[in-house]
Amino acid sequence: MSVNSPLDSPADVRSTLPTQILIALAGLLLVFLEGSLATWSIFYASVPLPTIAFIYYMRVNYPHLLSLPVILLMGLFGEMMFFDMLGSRATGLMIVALLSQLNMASQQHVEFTELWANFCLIVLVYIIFRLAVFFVFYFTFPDWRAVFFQAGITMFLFPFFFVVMSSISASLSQLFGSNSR
Amino acid sequence: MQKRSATKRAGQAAKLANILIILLGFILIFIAKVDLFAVRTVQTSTSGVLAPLFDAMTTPLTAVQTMVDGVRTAASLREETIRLRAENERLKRWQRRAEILESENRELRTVLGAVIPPDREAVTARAVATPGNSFSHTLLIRHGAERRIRRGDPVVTADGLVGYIIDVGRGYSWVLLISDVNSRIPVLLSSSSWPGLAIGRNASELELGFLPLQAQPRENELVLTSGHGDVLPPGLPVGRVNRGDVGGHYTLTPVVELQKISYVSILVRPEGAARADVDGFDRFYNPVPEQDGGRMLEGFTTKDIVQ
Repeated sequence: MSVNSPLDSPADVRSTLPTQILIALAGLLLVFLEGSLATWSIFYASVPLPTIAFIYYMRVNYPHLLSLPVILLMGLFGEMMFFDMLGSRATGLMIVALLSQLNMASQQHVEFTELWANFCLIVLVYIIFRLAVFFVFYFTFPDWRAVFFQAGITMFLFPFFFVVMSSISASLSQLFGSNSR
Repeated sequence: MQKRSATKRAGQAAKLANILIILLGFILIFIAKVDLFAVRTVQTSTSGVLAPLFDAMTTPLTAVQTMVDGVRTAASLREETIRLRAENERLKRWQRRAEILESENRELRTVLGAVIPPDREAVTARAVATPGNSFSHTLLIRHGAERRIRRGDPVVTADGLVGYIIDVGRGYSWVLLISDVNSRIPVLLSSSSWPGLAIGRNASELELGFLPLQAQPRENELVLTSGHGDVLPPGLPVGRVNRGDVGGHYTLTPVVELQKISYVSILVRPEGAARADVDGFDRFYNPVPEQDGGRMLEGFTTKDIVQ
Protein backbone atom coordinates (compact mmCIF):
# COMPACT_ATOMS: atom_id res chain seq x y z
CA MET A 1 0.00 0.00 0.00
CA SER A 2 1.49 3.36 -1.01
CA VAL A 3 1.78 6.26 1.49
CA ASN A 4 0.34 9.38 -0.17
CA SER A 5 -1.79 11.17 2.39
CA PRO A 6 -0.07 13.69 4.72
CA LEU A 7 -1.73 11.90 7.61
CA ASP A 8 0.10 8.71 6.68
CA SER A 9 3.53 10.33 6.48
CA PRO A 10 5.76 10.20 9.60
CA ALA A 11 5.43 13.08 12.10
CA ASP A 12 8.01 15.85 11.87
CA VAL A 13 9.16 15.97 15.47
CA ARG A 14 11.63 18.76 14.69
CA SER A 15 8.88 21.08 13.38
CA THR A 16 8.91 24.62 14.80
CA LEU A 17 5.16 25.01 14.36
CA PRO A 18 4.22 24.24 18.01
CA THR A 19 6.83 26.76 19.19
CA GLN A 20 5.48 29.32 16.72
CA ILE A 21 1.95 28.80 18.06
CA LEU A 22 3.14 29.18 21.66
CA ILE A 23 5.02 32.37 20.77
CA ALA A 24 1.93 33.72 19.01
CA LEU A 25 -0.09 33.06 22.17
CA ALA A 26 2.60 34.79 24.27
CA GLY A 27 2.41 37.76 21.90
CA LEU A 28 -1.36 37.98 22.29
CA LEU A 29 -1.04 37.80 26.08
CA LEU A 30 1.50 40.62 25.88
CA VAL A 31 -1.10 42.75 24.09
CA PHE A 32 -3.41 42.10 27.04
CA LEU A 33 -0.64 43.03 29.48
CA GLU A 34 -0.07 46.28 27.59
CA GLY A 35 -3.75 47.13 27.97
CA SER A 36 -3.77 46.12 31.63
CA LEU A 37 -0.89 48.49 32.39
CA ALA A 38 -3.11 51.33 31.21
CA THR A 39 -5.24 50.87 34.33
CA TRP A 40 -2.35 52.41 36.31
CA SER A 41 -3.01 56.13 36.35
CA ILE A 42 0.69 56.93 35.80
CA PHE A 43 0.51 55.25 32.38
CA TYR A 44 -2.80 56.86 31.36
CA ALA A 45 -2.76 57.23 27.54
CA SER A 46 0.96 56.50 27.44
CA VAL A 47 1.55 52.93 28.43
CA PRO A 48 4.99 51.45 27.59
CA LEU A 49 5.02 49.21 24.52
CA PRO A 50 6.35 45.77 25.50
CA THR A 51 4.93 44.34 22.25
CA ILE A 52 7.47 46.33 20.23
CA ALA A 53 10.29 45.12 22.47
CA PHE A 54 9.00 41.54 22.09
CA ILE A 55 8.79 41.79 18.29
CA TYR A 56 12.23 43.38 18.10
CA TYR A 57 13.80 40.75 20.34
CA MET A 58 12.15 37.86 18.52
CA ARG A 59 12.89 39.16 15.02
CA VAL A 60 16.55 39.73 15.88
CA ASN A 61 17.16 36.47 17.72
CA TYR A 62 14.55 34.01 16.44
CA PRO A 63 13.28 35.44 13.14
CA HIS A 64 11.60 32.21 12.01
CA LEU A 65 9.50 31.86 15.13
CA LEU A 66 7.54 35.11 14.82
CA SER A 67 6.02 35.52 11.37
CA LEU A 68 4.35 38.62 9.92
CA PRO A 69 0.82 37.08 9.99
CA VAL A 70 1.22 36.56 13.75
CA ILE A 71 2.28 40.19 14.15
CA LEU A 72 -0.71 41.26 12.05
CA LEU A 73 -2.92 39.20 14.36
CA MET A 74 -1.35 40.82 17.46
CA GLY A 75 -2.02 44.27 16.03
CA LEU A 76 -5.60 43.45 15.06
CA PHE A 77 -6.17 41.90 18.48
CA GLY A 78 -5.08 45.13 20.17
CA GLU A 79 -7.20 47.22 17.82
CA MET A 80 -10.29 45.12 18.51
CA MET A 81 -9.76 45.12 22.27
CA PHE A 82 -8.91 48.78 22.73
CA PHE A 83 -11.01 50.33 19.96
CA ASP A 84 -7.92 51.59 18.22
CA MET A 85 -7.91 52.73 14.58
CA LEU A 86 -8.26 49.55 12.56
CA GLY A 87 -5.05 48.59 10.77
CA SER A 88 -2.83 51.36 12.11
CA ARG A 89 -1.38 49.42 15.06
CA ALA A 90 -1.09 46.23 12.97
CA THR A 91 0.69 47.96 10.09
CA GLY A 92 2.94 49.82 12.54
CA LEU A 93 3.95 46.58 14.22
CA MET A 94 4.65 44.93 10.87
CA ILE A 95 6.88 47.85 9.90
CA VAL A 96 8.67 47.40 13.23
CA ALA A 97 9.18 43.72 12.38
CA LEU A 98 10.57 44.47 8.94
CA LEU A 99 12.88 47.18 10.29
CA SER A 100 14.08 44.86 13.05
CA GLN A 101 15.08 42.34 10.42
CA LEU A 102 17.32 44.80 8.57
CA ASN A 103 20.95 43.96 9.29
CA MET A 104 19.66 41.11 11.40
CA ALA A 105 22.80 39.03 10.94
CA SER A 106 25.01 41.80 12.26
CA GLN A 107 22.59 42.69 15.08
CA GLN A 108 22.93 39.24 16.61
CA HIS A 109 26.54 39.94 17.49
CA VAL A 110 26.55 43.64 18.31
CA GLU A 111 26.91 45.27 21.71
CA PHE A 112 23.86 45.91 23.82
CA THR A 113 24.07 49.70 23.46
CA GLU A 114 23.88 49.34 19.69
CA LEU A 115 20.83 47.11 20.03
CA TRP A 116 19.27 49.68 22.33
CA ALA A 117 19.97 52.49 19.86
CA ASN A 118 18.39 50.47 17.04
CA PHE A 119 15.38 49.81 19.21
CA CYS A 120 14.99 53.53 20.01
CA LEU A 121 15.07 54.29 16.29
CA ILE A 122 12.41 51.66 15.62
CA VAL A 123 10.16 53.02 18.39
CA LEU A 124 10.50 56.49 16.86
CA VAL A 125 9.55 55.16 13.41
CA TYR A 126 6.53 53.37 14.92
CA ILE A 127 5.35 56.51 16.74
CA ILE A 128 5.91 58.70 13.67
CA PHE A 129 3.94 56.23 11.53
CA ARG A 130 1.04 56.25 13.97
CA LEU A 131 1.13 60.04 14.22
CA ALA A 132 1.05 60.25 10.42
CA VAL A 133 -1.97 57.95 10.17
CA PHE A 134 -3.72 59.89 12.94
CA PHE A 135 -2.99 63.17 11.16
CA VAL A 136 -4.35 61.85 7.86
CA PHE A 137 -7.54 60.76 9.63
CA TYR A 138 -8.20 63.84 11.75
CA PHE A 139 -5.91 66.65 10.50
CA THR A 140 -4.68 67.18 14.02
CA PHE A 141 -2.16 65.64 16.39
CA PRO A 142 -2.79 64.02 19.77
CA ASP A 143 -1.21 65.25 23.00
CA TRP A 144 2.53 65.48 22.26
CA ARG A 145 3.51 65.07 25.90
CA ALA A 146 1.69 61.75 26.15
CA VAL A 147 3.14 60.54 22.85
CA PHE A 148 6.70 61.44 23.84
CA PHE A 149 6.22 60.00 27.31
CA GLN A 150 5.07 56.73 25.77
CA ALA A 151 8.00 56.62 23.36
CA GLY A 152 10.46 57.66 26.10
CA ILE A 153 9.25 55.18 28.68
CA THR A 154 9.38 52.37 26.09
CA MET A 155 12.96 53.25 25.18
CA PHE A 156 13.92 53.65 28.82
CA LEU A 157 12.48 50.28 29.79
CA PHE A 158 14.14 48.39 26.93
CA PRO A 159 16.98 47.01 29.13
CA PHE A 160 14.33 45.66 31.51
CA PHE A 161 12.36 44.05 28.67
CA PHE A 162 15.59 42.69 27.20
CA VAL A 163 16.75 41.12 30.45
CA VAL A 164 13.32 39.56 31.09
CA MET A 165 13.08 38.14 27.57
CA SER A 166 16.70 36.91 27.57
CA SER A 167 16.12 35.17 30.92
CA ILE A 168 12.91 33.53 29.70
CA SER A 169 14.60 32.52 26.47
CA ALA A 170 17.62 31.05 28.32
CA SER A 171 15.40 29.18 30.76
CA LEU A 172 13.29 27.71 27.97
CA SER A 173 16.42 26.75 26.03
CA GLN A 174 17.76 24.90 29.06
CA LEU A 175 14.43 23.18 29.65
CA PHE A 176 13.69 22.11 26.11
CA GLY A 177 17.02 22.46 24.33
CA SER A 178 16.34 25.14 21.71
CA ASN A 179 17.74 24.50 18.27
CA SER A 180 15.64 26.94 16.35
CA ARG A 181 17.96 29.92 16.44
CA MET B 1 22.53 25.16 -9.42
CA GLN B 2 18.90 24.02 -9.19
CA LYS B 3 19.03 24.28 -5.41
CA ARG B 4 20.31 27.88 -5.66
CA SER B 5 17.51 28.93 -8.01
CA ALA B 6 14.94 27.23 -5.76
CA THR B 7 16.29 29.18 -2.75
CA LYS B 8 16.16 32.38 -4.79
CA ARG B 9 12.56 31.67 -5.78
CA ALA B 10 11.63 30.94 -2.14
CA GLY B 11 13.25 34.24 -1.10
CA GLN B 12 11.30 36.15 -3.74
CA ALA B 13 8.06 34.46 -2.65
CA ALA B 14 8.74 35.44 0.98
CA LYS B 15 9.38 39.05 -0.07
CA LEU B 16 6.15 39.09 -2.07
CA ALA B 17 4.25 37.67 0.91
CA ASN B 18 5.71 40.40 3.16
CA ILE B 19 4.69 43.12 0.72
CA LEU B 20 1.19 41.65 0.44
CA ILE B 21 0.71 41.50 4.19
CA ILE B 22 1.88 45.11 4.63
CA LEU B 23 -0.56 46.06 1.86
CA LEU B 24 -3.26 44.26 3.81
CA GLY B 25 -2.45 46.48 6.79
CA PHE B 26 -2.92 49.60 4.68
CA ILE B 27 -6.17 48.22 3.26
CA LEU B 28 -7.38 47.76 6.84
CA ILE B 29 -6.57 51.40 7.60
CA PHE B 30 -8.61 52.36 4.52
CA ILE B 31 -11.50 50.14 5.69
CA ALA B 32 -11.37 51.82 9.10
CA LYS B 33 -11.74 55.22 7.45
CA VAL B 34 -14.79 54.03 5.49
CA ASP B 35 -16.26 52.98 8.86
CA LEU B 36 -18.17 49.91 7.69
CA PHE B 37 -20.95 48.70 9.93
CA ALA B 38 -19.75 45.10 9.56
CA VAL B 39 -16.28 46.02 10.84
CA ARG B 40 -17.75 47.76 13.86
CA THR B 41 -19.95 44.74 14.57
CA VAL B 42 -16.96 42.39 14.37
CA GLN B 43 -14.98 44.73 16.62
CA THR B 44 -17.77 44.87 19.22
CA SER B 45 -18.33 41.10 19.14
CA THR B 46 -14.61 40.32 19.44
CA SER B 47 -14.04 42.70 22.30
CA GLY B 48 -17.19 41.35 23.98
CA VAL B 49 -15.87 37.81 23.81
CA LEU B 50 -12.36 38.72 24.95
CA ALA B 51 -13.34 41.26 27.60
CA PRO B 52 -13.84 38.72 30.44
CA LEU B 53 -10.32 37.38 29.84
CA PHE B 54 -8.93 40.89 29.85
CA ASP B 55 -11.00 41.69 32.94
CA ALA B 56 -9.39 38.75 34.74
CA MET B 57 -5.91 39.88 33.65
CA THR B 58 -6.34 43.41 34.94
CA THR B 59 -7.33 42.24 38.45
CA PRO B 60 -3.78 41.62 39.79
CA LEU B 61 -2.51 44.84 38.20
CA THR B 62 -5.36 46.81 39.75
CA ALA B 63 -4.46 45.23 43.09
CA VAL B 64 -0.87 46.49 42.69
CA GLN B 65 -2.21 49.98 41.94
CA THR B 66 -4.45 49.82 45.03
CA MET B 67 -1.48 48.73 47.16
CA VAL B 68 0.69 51.59 45.87
CA ASP B 69 -2.16 54.02 46.54
CA GLY B 70 -2.54 52.58 50.05
CA VAL B 71 1.15 53.05 50.83
CA ARG B 72 1.06 56.59 49.45
CA THR B 73 -2.04 57.41 51.49
CA ALA B 74 -0.48 56.08 54.70
CA ALA B 75 2.62 58.18 54.08
CA SER B 76 0.65 61.37 53.64
CA LEU B 77 -1.97 60.68 56.33
CA ARG B 78 -1.18 63.69 58.51
CA GLU B 79 -1.22 66.15 55.61
CA GLU B 80 -4.38 64.50 54.37
CA THR B 81 -6.14 65.01 57.73
CA ILE B 82 -5.29 68.72 57.77
CA ARG B 83 -6.43 69.09 54.19
CA LEU B 84 -9.64 67.17 54.83
CA ARG B 85 -10.51 69.32 57.86
CA ALA B 86 -10.12 72.48 55.81
CA GLU B 87 -12.10 70.93 52.98
CA ASN B 88 -14.83 69.87 55.39
CA GLU B 89 -15.20 73.42 56.65
CA ARG B 90 -15.37 74.70 53.10
CA LEU B 91 -17.94 72.06 52.13
CA LYS B 92 -20.12 72.92 55.11
CA ARG B 93 -20.20 76.52 53.92
CA TRP B 94 -21.05 75.32 50.42
CA GLN B 95 -23.77 73.05 51.79
CA ARG B 96 -25.48 75.99 53.48
CA ARG B 97 -25.15 78.01 50.28
CA ALA B 98 -26.54 75.08 48.23
CA GLU B 99 -29.56 74.74 50.50
CA ILE B 100 -30.37 78.41 49.99
CA LEU B 101 -29.86 78.08 46.20
CA GLU B 102 -31.97 74.92 46.04
CA SER B 103 -34.87 76.67 47.67
CA GLU B 104 -34.43 79.65 45.34
CA ASN B 105 -34.22 77.33 42.33
CA ARG B 106 -37.45 75.56 43.29
CA GLU B 107 -39.23 78.89 43.51
CA LEU B 108 -37.82 80.06 40.17
CA ARG B 109 -38.91 76.86 38.43
CA THR B 110 -42.50 77.36 39.48
CA VAL B 111 -42.29 80.92 38.14
CA LEU B 112 -40.72 79.97 34.79
CA GLY B 113 -42.60 76.69 34.38
CA ALA B 114 -39.38 74.94 33.39
CA VAL B 115 -39.76 71.42 32.06
CA ILE B 116 -37.68 68.87 33.95
CA PRO B 117 -36.08 66.46 31.45
CA PRO B 118 -37.29 62.85 31.57
CA ASP B 119 -35.72 61.01 34.47
CA ARG B 120 -32.90 58.61 33.95
CA GLU B 121 -31.64 55.78 36.08
CA ALA B 122 -28.00 55.33 37.05
CA VAL B 123 -26.21 52.04 36.49
CA THR B 124 -22.84 51.81 38.22
CA ALA B 125 -20.11 50.02 36.32
CA ARG B 126 -16.41 49.32 36.81
CA ALA B 127 -13.92 50.62 34.26
CA VAL B 128 -12.08 47.62 32.85
CA ALA B 129 -9.70 49.17 30.31
CA THR B 130 -8.55 52.74 30.02
CA PRO B 131 -6.75 54.27 27.03
CA GLY B 132 -3.29 52.83 26.69
CA ASN B 133 -2.13 55.26 24.02
CA SER B 134 -2.74 58.76 22.77
CA PHE B 135 -4.44 57.69 19.57
CA SER B 136 -7.77 56.51 20.97
CA HIS B 137 -9.46 57.74 24.14
CA THR B 138 -12.02 55.06 24.91
CA LEU B 139 -13.00 53.18 28.01
CA LEU B 140 -14.20 49.59 28.33
CA ILE B 141 -16.72 49.20 31.13
CA ARG B 142 -18.52 46.29 32.76
CA HIS B 143 -22.25 45.93 31.97
CA GLY B 144 -23.94 46.20 28.63
CA ALA B 145 -27.29 45.50 27.05
CA GLU B 146 -28.30 43.29 30.00
CA ARG B 147 -28.58 46.50 32.10
CA ARG B 148 -30.53 48.40 29.41
CA ILE B 149 -27.43 50.36 28.37
CA ARG B 150 -27.79 51.76 24.85
CA ARG B 151 -25.66 53.71 22.42
CA GLY B 152 -25.66 57.40 23.23
CA ASP B 153 -26.25 56.99 26.98
CA PRO B 154 -24.17 59.49 28.95
CA VAL B 155 -21.49 58.22 31.31
CA VAL B 156 -20.76 60.30 34.40
CA THR B 157 -19.03 60.35 37.75
CA ALA B 158 -19.93 62.50 40.77
CA ASP B 159 -17.84 65.29 39.20
CA GLY B 160 -19.44 65.41 35.76
CA LEU B 161 -19.51 63.98 32.26
CA VAL B 162 -16.99 61.29 31.30
CA GLY B 163 -18.29 60.48 27.81
CA TYR B 164 -21.01 58.54 26.12
CA ILE B 165 -21.64 54.96 25.06
CA ILE B 166 -20.60 54.17 21.49
CA ASP B 167 -20.93 50.40 21.43
CA VAL B 168 -22.78 47.93 23.58
CA GLY B 169 -22.08 44.25 23.97
CA ARG B 170 -24.03 41.85 26.17
CA GLY B 171 -21.90 42.30 29.27
CA TYR B 172 -19.50 45.10 28.30
CA SER B 173 -19.78 48.53 26.72
CA TRP B 174 -17.40 51.01 25.13
CA VAL B 175 -17.38 54.66 26.17
CA LEU B 176 -16.05 57.42 23.94
CA LEU B 177 -14.34 59.78 26.39
CA ILE B 178 -14.96 63.51 26.03
CA SER B 179 -11.24 63.90 25.34
CA ASP B 180 -11.33 61.69 22.20
CA VAL B 181 -10.81 63.41 18.87
CA ASN B 182 -14.18 62.07 17.66
CA SER B 183 -16.10 63.58 20.60
CA ARG B 184 -18.25 66.67 20.05
CA ILE B 185 -20.38 67.74 23.03
CA PRO B 186 -22.92 70.58 22.67
CA VAL B 187 -22.34 72.79 25.70
CA LEU B 188 -23.42 76.02 27.35
CA LEU B 189 -21.36 78.46 29.38
CA SER B 190 -22.88 78.35 32.86
CA SER B 191 -22.78 82.10 33.54
CA SER B 192 -23.54 83.64 30.15
CA SER B 193 -25.46 80.71 28.57
CA TRP B 194 -23.62 81.08 25.24
CA PRO B 195 -23.72 77.78 23.33
CA GLY B 196 -20.65 76.06 21.92
CA LEU B 197 -19.04 72.71 21.32
CA ALA B 198 -16.58 70.91 23.57
CA ILE B 199 -14.27 69.21 21.09
CA GLY B 200 -11.92 66.40 22.07
CA ARG B 201 -8.30 66.59 20.91
CA ASN B 202 -6.88 63.32 22.28
CA ALA B 203 -5.20 65.47 24.90
CA SER B 204 -5.80 66.33 28.53
CA GLU B 205 -7.69 69.49 27.55
CA LEU B 206 -10.72 69.98 25.30
CA GLU B 207 -11.24 72.73 22.77
CA LEU B 208 -14.17 75.08 23.26
CA GLY B 209 -15.25 75.78 19.69
CA PHE B 210 -18.12 77.26 17.69
CA LEU B 211 -18.74 80.01 20.24
CA PRO B 212 -20.59 83.13 19.02
CA LEU B 213 -18.29 86.10 18.46
CA GLN B 214 -19.92 88.00 21.31
CA ALA B 215 -19.20 85.26 23.81
CA GLN B 216 -16.43 86.02 26.27
CA PRO B 217 -15.91 83.01 28.49
CA ARG B 218 -14.39 83.81 31.85
CA GLU B 219 -11.45 81.91 33.21
CA ASN B 220 -12.57 78.95 35.37
CA GLU B 221 -16.19 79.29 34.19
CA LEU B 222 -18.10 76.01 34.37
CA VAL B 223 -19.30 74.54 31.07
CA LEU B 224 -22.37 72.30 31.04
CA THR B 225 -24.03 70.07 28.45
CA SER B 226 -26.73 71.98 26.59
CA GLY B 227 -28.86 68.99 25.61
CA HIS B 228 -28.89 70.09 21.96
CA GLY B 229 -29.27 67.13 19.60
CA ASP B 230 -31.21 65.19 22.24
CA VAL B 231 -28.36 62.76 22.81
CA LEU B 232 -27.12 63.97 26.19
CA PRO B 233 -29.31 65.48 28.92
CA PRO B 234 -28.69 69.16 29.69
CA GLY B 235 -26.89 70.39 32.78
CA LEU B 236 -24.08 67.84 33.14
CA PRO B 237 -20.76 69.54 34.04
CA VAL B 238 -18.18 69.03 31.29
CA GLY B 239 -15.22 71.24 32.16
CA ARG B 240 -13.90 74.60 33.25
CA VAL B 241 -12.62 77.29 30.90
CA ASN B 242 -8.89 77.90 30.83
CA ARG B 243 -7.33 81.26 30.08
CA GLY B 244 -8.07 82.21 26.43
CA ASP B 245 -5.14 82.82 24.10
CA VAL B 246 -4.56 85.75 21.76
CA GLY B 247 -6.52 84.26 18.87
CA GLY B 248 -9.61 83.88 21.00
CA HIS B 249 -9.26 80.12 21.24
CA TYR B 250 -10.47 78.66 24.45
CA THR B 251 -9.73 75.33 26.04
CA LEU B 252 -11.47 73.39 28.78
CA THR B 253 -10.08 71.26 31.57
CA PRO B 254 -12.47 68.36 32.12
CA VAL B 255 -14.08 68.41 35.56
CA VAL B 256 -13.56 64.66 35.76
CA GLU B 257 -10.00 63.42 36.22
CA LEU B 258 -10.12 61.02 33.28
CA GLN B 259 -6.89 59.27 34.23
CA LYS B 260 -8.29 58.23 37.63
CA ILE B 261 -11.56 56.63 36.59
CA SER B 262 -12.32 53.37 38.32
CA TYR B 263 -16.12 53.42 38.56
CA VAL B 264 -18.67 55.28 36.46
CA SER B 265 -22.43 55.70 36.30
CA ILE B 266 -24.32 55.25 33.07
CA LEU B 267 -27.51 57.29 32.85
CA VAL B 268 -29.89 54.86 31.19
CA ARG B 269 -33.48 55.54 30.30
CA PRO B 270 -35.98 53.82 32.61
CA GLU B 271 -37.79 50.74 31.35
CA GLY B 272 -40.64 51.66 29.06
CA ALA B 273 -39.27 55.17 28.39
CA ALA B 274 -38.97 56.38 24.79
CA ARG B 275 -35.84 55.17 23.01
CA ALA B 276 -32.99 57.57 22.36
CA ASP B 277 -32.73 58.80 18.77
CA VAL B 278 -30.16 56.20 17.81
CA ASP B 279 -30.41 56.97 14.09
CA GLY B 280 -29.69 60.60 14.77
CA PHE B 281 -26.79 59.54 16.93
CA ASP B 282 -25.46 57.36 14.12
CA ARG B 283 -25.41 60.35 11.81
CA PHE B 284 -23.74 62.38 14.54
CA TYR B 285 -21.01 59.80 15.15
CA ASN B 286 -20.34 58.60 11.61
CA PRO B 287 -17.30 60.42 10.22
CA VAL B 288 -18.11 59.68 6.57
CA PRO B 289 -20.77 61.88 4.96
CA GLU B 290 -23.32 60.50 2.52
CA GLN B 291 -23.59 62.14 -0.90
CA ASP B 292 -25.75 61.03 -3.83
CA GLY B 293 -26.74 57.90 -1.98
CA GLY B 294 -23.14 56.72 -1.58
CA ARG B 295 -20.52 57.18 1.08
CA MET B 296 -17.57 59.35 0.23
CA LEU B 297 -14.28 59.85 1.97
CA GLU B 298 -14.24 63.23 3.62
CA GLY B 299 -11.41 65.34 2.30
CA PHE B 300 -10.36 62.77 -0.26
CA THR B 301 -12.69 63.50 -3.19
CA THR B 302 -11.64 65.69 -6.06
CA LYS B 303 -15.24 65.90 -7.33
CA ASP B 304 -16.17 68.55 -4.76
CA ILE B 305 -13.03 70.56 -5.46
CA VAL B 306 -13.69 70.53 -9.22
CA GLN B 307 -17.31 71.54 -8.73
